[in-house]
Amino acid sequence: MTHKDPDHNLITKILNGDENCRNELIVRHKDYAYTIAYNVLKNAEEAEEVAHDAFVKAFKSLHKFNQEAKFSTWLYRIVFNTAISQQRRQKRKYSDLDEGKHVASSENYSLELQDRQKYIEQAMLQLNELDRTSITLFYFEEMSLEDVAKILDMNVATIKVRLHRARKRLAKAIQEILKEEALTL
Amino acid sequence: MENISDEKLLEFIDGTLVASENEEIKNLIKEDQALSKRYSQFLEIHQMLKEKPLMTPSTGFVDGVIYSLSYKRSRFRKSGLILFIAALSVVILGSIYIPELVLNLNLEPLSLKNFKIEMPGGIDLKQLNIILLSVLSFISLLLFEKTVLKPLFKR
Repeated sequence: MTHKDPDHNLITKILNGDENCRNELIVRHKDYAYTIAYNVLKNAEEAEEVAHDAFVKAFKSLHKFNQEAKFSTWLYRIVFNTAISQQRRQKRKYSDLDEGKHVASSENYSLELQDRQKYIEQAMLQLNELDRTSITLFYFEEMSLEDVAKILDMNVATIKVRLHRARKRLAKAIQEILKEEALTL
Repeated sequence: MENISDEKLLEFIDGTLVASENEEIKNLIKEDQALSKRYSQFLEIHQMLKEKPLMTPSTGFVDGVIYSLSYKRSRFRKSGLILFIAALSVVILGSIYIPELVLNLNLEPLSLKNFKIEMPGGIDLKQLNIILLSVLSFISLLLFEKTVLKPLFKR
C-alpha cells in the first residue's frame, strides 16, 4: 500500500524506535500547530505551551494513530482540542495586548503587504475562535474543507457556512478599519 | 438580472462552482458594476488571507518538546524513585531493628595432611547487617541523585 502523506514514513520510523525523526516531524508542523493555538488563545505564551503539550500528547499516543489517516489533520485536531481546553480552564477574555509578540515566518514583506497583514490581523480579532481557526486552517495550502471539518469535529456544510460568514465579517471589519484610518489621516 | 448572493461569490472565488455557474458569474461580474465591486472586496480578503504568514514559536520549541518527551517517557525514573523509597525504608527499618545475634556454625577444623585450618566459630549478624545497610544506603543515595536531583536541576 502506498501512502501519499509524507509524514507516514517518519511515523513508521519513530514507531520502530528511530527517535531522531521526531525532530523532523516537529519542525514540519510546529508553525501550523502554533498558529492554530494562537488563533484560539490569542496569547503567544499560552499558544506555545499548548502547541508543546499537543506535540507531547501526539507522540505519546502515536501508536494509536491510524496510519490510513492524514497525520496533520490528526495532530491539528489535538492542538485545537488542547487549545480549547486551555481556554476553558483560563476562562480568559481575548486580549490584543500581546499582538506583535509573535514572529512571522517569512521576513521580506513590502510595506503594503505589511499594512494588509496588519488590517487582516485586526479584523481577525473580531471573529470568534472557531471562525478564526476555520479561516486559518482553510487558507493553509493543503487544508480542504473536509480536513478543516475533521479537525474542528464539524460537518463540511457547517464549515462552509462558517467560512462564508467569517469572510463576510472580515470584509466588513476591514472596511470599517480603513474608514477609521481615513478619518484619522 | 439574477441577484448573486455573497455565498455564491465566495464559492466562485474558491473555485467550487460547476463550470456553467462559474461562466455565468464571470459574465455577470463583467456586466454588473455593483457585483464587480462586491467581488473585488471578497477577492481582496481572499488574497490577504492567502498571504497571511504562519506564526512561529520560539527557537527552543523543538528542543523543549523533545526534552519533555524523553523526561516523561523515562521508565527508569519512575521505577528508580520506587526503588529509592524501598531501599530507604529498608535502611531505616534495618537500623532500628538490627539484631544482636551471632550465628554459631560449630564447624570442625579442616585438616589437610600437615596443616590444620581453624574454622570460624560463628558469624556476627550485627556486623553483617551493618555492612549490608551501608551498601544499601549508598545505592539509595545514587538513586536519589539519578531520580530526584538530576531531573530537578535539569529542569
